[in-house]
Amino acid sequence: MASSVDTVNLRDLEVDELNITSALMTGASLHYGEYCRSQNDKFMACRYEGKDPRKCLEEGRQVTDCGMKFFSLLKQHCNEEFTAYWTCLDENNQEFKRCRKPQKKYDACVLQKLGLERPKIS
Amino acid sequence: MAAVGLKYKQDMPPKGGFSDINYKRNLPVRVKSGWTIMLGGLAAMSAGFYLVVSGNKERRQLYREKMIARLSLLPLLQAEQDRRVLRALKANVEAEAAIMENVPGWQAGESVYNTDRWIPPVPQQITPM
Repeated sequence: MASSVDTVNLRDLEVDELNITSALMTGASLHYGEYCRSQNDKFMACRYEGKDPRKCLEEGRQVTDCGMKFFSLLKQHCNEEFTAYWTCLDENNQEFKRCRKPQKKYDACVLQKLGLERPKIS
Repeated sequence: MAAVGLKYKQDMPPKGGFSDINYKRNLPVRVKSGWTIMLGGLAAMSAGFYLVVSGNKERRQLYREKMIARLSLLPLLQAEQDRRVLRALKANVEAEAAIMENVPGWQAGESVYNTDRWIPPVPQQITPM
């Protein structure tokens, strides 16, 4: 066993974890990527640079906090549309092409309330 | 053998006799010329190829969308995973210290490697028993 965790504080590992399932994550993924772009990029850069998770705990905490913020914003503003969308995904093997109708409503709601556009897949 | 009253079936020619045997030459009328048939086949093939190509393009777009979704989620999941692994390793060190308490000269959590870099742990180290 490596003594690698000696330098790790248990305090650093205490973070409010997101409690959501895969369908919600897939449904919100594209908008989440837009909203939390900077935190995600910083964390991945840190992680890929040293290949050391012990050094990137702070960035990881910021990523999770941003995720929490995003999902609570969704819950606050677009709850019904998002629920319809991720329920549809849940029933359809999380395939995007099968859920275009609820997706349009959800996209419109997010664009209106949160100002986030779905990234163009070209 | 007198078969009185016994009805049996015999293989007889059909009513009206057999039809005439066709011995004349068979010269069918050419409905469409060879070129026309080939053009029709070509048209069907081009329509088919067009559908295949456009279907492939659409599939590529769907794949891209799926990958972008997964890549967007990657940092979130990776951060959670990192924390989980570190927590498990810390719990391991504490358990090791408790188990090897009475063994003289035992360093709990001593590294088996000669380096300071992060060695990804083996799954058996992390999965809860």
